[in-house]
Amino acid sequence: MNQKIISVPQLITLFMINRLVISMTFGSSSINNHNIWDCIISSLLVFIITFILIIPMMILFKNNENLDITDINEKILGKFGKIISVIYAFYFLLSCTYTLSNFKIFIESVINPPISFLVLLTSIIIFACYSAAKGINAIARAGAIILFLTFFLLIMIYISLFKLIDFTNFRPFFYENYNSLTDGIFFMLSRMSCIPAMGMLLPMCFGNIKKGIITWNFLVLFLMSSMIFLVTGVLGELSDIKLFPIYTATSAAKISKFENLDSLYLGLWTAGIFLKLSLFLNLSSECLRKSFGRKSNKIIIFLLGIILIITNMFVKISNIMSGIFDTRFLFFMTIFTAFLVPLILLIIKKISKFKQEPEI
Amino acid sequence: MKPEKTKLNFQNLNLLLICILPVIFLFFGIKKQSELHEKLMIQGIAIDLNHENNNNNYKLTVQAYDFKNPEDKNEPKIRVIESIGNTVSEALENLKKITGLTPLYSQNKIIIFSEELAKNGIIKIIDFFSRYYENRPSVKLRIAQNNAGDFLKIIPENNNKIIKASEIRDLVDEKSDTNILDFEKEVKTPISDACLMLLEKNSQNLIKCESTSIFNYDKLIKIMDKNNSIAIQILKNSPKPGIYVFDYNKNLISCKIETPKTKIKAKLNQENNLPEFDIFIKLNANLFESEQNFENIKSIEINIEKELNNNLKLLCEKVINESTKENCDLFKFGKILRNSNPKYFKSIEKDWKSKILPNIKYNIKINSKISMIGMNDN
Amino acid sequence: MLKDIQKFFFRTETNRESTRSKIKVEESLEKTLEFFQKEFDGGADLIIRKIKIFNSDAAIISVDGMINKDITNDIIKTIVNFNLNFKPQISNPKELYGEIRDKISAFPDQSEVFYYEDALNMILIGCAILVIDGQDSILVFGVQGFEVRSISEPTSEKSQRGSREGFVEVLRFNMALIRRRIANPKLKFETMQLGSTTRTYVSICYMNDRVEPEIIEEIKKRLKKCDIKSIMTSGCISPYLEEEGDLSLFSSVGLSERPDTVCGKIVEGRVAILVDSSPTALIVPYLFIEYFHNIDDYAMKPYFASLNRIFKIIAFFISILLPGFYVGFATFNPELIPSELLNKISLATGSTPFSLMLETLIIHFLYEILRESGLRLPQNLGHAVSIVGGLVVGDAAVNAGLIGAPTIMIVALTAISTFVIPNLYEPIALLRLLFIIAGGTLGIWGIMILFTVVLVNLCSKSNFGIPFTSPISPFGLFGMRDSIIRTSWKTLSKNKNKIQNMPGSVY
Repeated sequence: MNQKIISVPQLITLFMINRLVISMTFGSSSINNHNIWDCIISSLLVFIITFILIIPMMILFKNNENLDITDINEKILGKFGKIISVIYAFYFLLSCTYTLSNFKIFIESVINPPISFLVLLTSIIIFACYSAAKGINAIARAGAIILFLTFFLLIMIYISLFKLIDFTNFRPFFYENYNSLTDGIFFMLSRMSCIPAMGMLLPMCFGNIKKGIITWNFLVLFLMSSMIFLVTGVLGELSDIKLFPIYTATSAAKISKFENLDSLYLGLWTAGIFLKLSLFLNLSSECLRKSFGRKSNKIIIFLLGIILIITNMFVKISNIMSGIFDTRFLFFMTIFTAFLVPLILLIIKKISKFKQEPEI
Repeated sequence: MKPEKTKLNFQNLNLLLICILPVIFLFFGIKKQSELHEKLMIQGIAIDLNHENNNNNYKLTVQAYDFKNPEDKNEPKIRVIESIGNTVSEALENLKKITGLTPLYSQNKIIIFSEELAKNGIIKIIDFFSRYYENRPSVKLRIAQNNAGDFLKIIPENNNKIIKASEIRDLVDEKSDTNILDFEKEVKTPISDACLMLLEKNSQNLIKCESTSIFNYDKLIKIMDKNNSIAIQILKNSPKPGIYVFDYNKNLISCKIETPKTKIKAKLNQENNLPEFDIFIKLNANLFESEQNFENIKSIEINIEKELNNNLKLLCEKVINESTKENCDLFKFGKILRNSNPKYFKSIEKDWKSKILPNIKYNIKINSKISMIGMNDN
Repeated sequence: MLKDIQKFFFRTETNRESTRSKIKVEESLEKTLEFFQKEFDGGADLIIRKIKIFNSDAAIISVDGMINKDITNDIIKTIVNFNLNFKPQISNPKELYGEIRDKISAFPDQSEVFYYEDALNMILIGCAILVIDGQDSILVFGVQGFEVRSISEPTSEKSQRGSREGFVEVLRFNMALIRRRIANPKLKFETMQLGSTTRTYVSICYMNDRVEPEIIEEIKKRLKKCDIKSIMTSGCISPYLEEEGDLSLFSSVGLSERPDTVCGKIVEGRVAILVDSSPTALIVPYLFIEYFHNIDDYAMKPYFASLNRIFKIIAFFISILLPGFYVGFATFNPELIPSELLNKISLATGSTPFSLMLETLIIHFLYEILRESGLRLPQNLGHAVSIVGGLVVGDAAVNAGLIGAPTIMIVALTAISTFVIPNLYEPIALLRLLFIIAGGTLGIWGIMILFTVVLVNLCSKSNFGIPFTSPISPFGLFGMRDSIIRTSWKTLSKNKNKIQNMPGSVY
């Protein structure tokens, strides 16, 4: 049983922060191709696909309003369900590792600040553990304020970039080929960690969830497409070459004397990463806590934090790691946790109902 | 109720986290970080080819503030430092060995390339500057006539103070200036090209920045004079192209041209299968001075407008002709054609600059409006 | 008044009462006096005045300095006059006692007690008692008359257009100050004794119809858990009112010295806790945004009040973040500072021997020392300290090239901003130091991480089921009309603005 502790707007806040963190690292390197502009169509298609992907999760949740995915696993699958819950925990941890490795790549390749990255990483993880221990409620409330600040800054950046748009930069769609469309969908879907997170968060949520999810999806569509639009308009073909084109575009933004808004944006991005980490650490620890039947999840959170630190130290070294860090693996994991597991659960439930009914 | 002693008390752990860990961890983060005054705050960089030594390709001249040894309390000392290196980054690295100060690039205002260097190609150098985080993408680029380094050490005759890099930057209106990002944007795209403003120096050590140097890919190919530059600015939609002086009934008239709105439309000629471009230009001009007193303002205004239209049209045609002849697509004809006729453009994309561009046809229509006449003598 | 005291006195539960059984008053005067002398252990302030009424021995017992001597004299005089004027018709001490109780001393604040403990307590709170030999009860006269500070404007919370009254040290007076402002029978005071040694009276004060009974129950539960020995100030019990395991820097218990502020809060459904001998009332549940509120806000035009609040919030952020940003930007992200400003900063720090972080920390330490010394010194000396501090630290240090002028300016600006919200001084002072360290070691990244941690810490806080950061996050438009901005009284008075209606509240 879960308490209804967060409201639908707070749920959207949590998901939007997650999306903002991801969108920042969106670039040609993440889609293996050289045409970001086509991804605006991908974001539209992802918008539709997301609705389809959500369906099993929503039906599952509608039937068991107060149970989260781990409870349902255990209810339907019994002991085997606990293993599935552990897979969910692993997925959430994986998502954290992806975010952190992206952060690492970004910091080391673009900014290379004169600070020890290891210390930065460790302090982010330790503090994220702390806020994960503080609970979903605290993360959602803090997230709302950070999201407000980020949106405020984003709007300022948007306005200043809008003047720099050159309309000749907008190529005809699919000028070269359709690869970037599929790659874009692949990228955006593999980062759709919000749907598995829904399995944990929806039971805690009060309010009109359907409306909330539709709003969220629209906001994601708007965010992604507006970013792609601005970046292509400002940078043109350069957006296909730059490692992090969205960052490059923000670095061109300026408001009167204050030129380098990108640093401020990076600061808020760090805060976003921090909150995303705390959310997913919390969810991961909740999954583990429930499957191991412990009372407090604090020890688990700190253990997970240590695992995160260690994995991020050795990301580059180990061959196994590079296998896990393949985007295809993440894509599979996302589809598995977001769509397949709820679907299988639904089917098993239907079958068991059919079996039960003649007995009655 | 006393807490059970056997259990680990997480309240204390929280307390530990809040109080001790931040401090300890943050102190671990301290690296040797040079303070502001230990930095050489670079204001402008000029890059020349080095002829003296065969081992070093580049000669750098840097104008920078030195805060460690200020001249007085309100003014930092402006230092001009020269260094050489096989690559630009090496030469910049040498700065620390020369001055003992860590160079800080984030306040850099301007990068000047010598004409000679620009003719050999500057893409590698631009790459370095756009990769390096500390260098902001908003740094302005210039080409220098002859030696680039000289421009950063000019001391005018009537003044003892060296001309600051920021002053050189401000010679060009900010909105029509080209920065690293703009330049990179055009150069890295195979179907468009860029242009940079040219710095010139007269005998009295005064700098002027009127002419434009145009590039094919990253190589400088031609220098356009002042009037041609105005035409380039008009065609590139710069908000303030400048003051244009022309002849009207044997009198010199100067107009300040403002807010040109240029629209270029591409179409395909069905007969010879070659692209044609319609260029519509709408602009405002303010009459600044003339040697003649006008009597009938209305009619003369129309006449002046006509004359201005004709003059500007000729100029624009000249600029387009000259640039396209050199396979230089300054005005994004390629992009416009690609967006309107993608299938056709895909078939000719490889030959666009080499074969198609020099042969394109275009019609220019200029509609100028003189909004400020000034005065009449009646 | 005496009966009132007695009423709540009997209801109160103290540790002492629960452990000791009460002893009945004995008939022998000797034994009674022995009891009191033993309890006070020969204490110098116990006054025992033996008198003779007819043939019976009697004694009046009180504590020096706690009684009004004029009234006591009057009472003694009446009793002695009775002794002189009337013929001895009363032989029985019990009869005599009854005569005195019902006829002779016609004193309004008068009652009788039957246990020694009760009598002792009465003496301790400033009553005089009359003991008559052969009578097993004691007559109590409410003649309290200790010296008190008169009601004056609180120095720490001045207001332009609010009342000039502030709480004093006496609980009864403070209760009266509140009662006078809310003439409503629903206003309820509940008093209890806390502190096993000092047995200080603590009064919970609320509107019966506005507060959820659960909140009152919870407050009582928490106060009963309070196992503190001595309560000298209201700050002693405020930690017990916070949520369990709450280690936040910010306090979710509000403080005020102004009866009008407290009454405003009580009407909104909050609970005030008054502590005897402390002029500061505690207010629970308290929201973070209320730190930026002021009684004057409600007297001004709404647009100006809103502007004021926004400035205060900006001042709060300046006071915790500015030095951190200054150090962090100048050390790690100089590209964020406009060039002209950066030139000035670099010029100023060019001649100083310390690193920017160390310099800022040093000035902060100096500032805190100066502040503390100025705070506790006599006023005249305090001025001297501020002059020396201003001159020596400010001017001489800059002239000698020890410290940069921008750093001084930043610290001064920060210090002034802090005074805008005096109630938040403690967390601000600590956070400022943490932010300087974070900025000086990890730059903007460190500042943002620490900022988020503080934010999470702040947001995780809730007291009595109401989120500390409500109504900003969780956001509620209803609550926003009196938070960052203040709407007009017409809007404010439309709905019942109860604290329980805040977004995120569990009630």
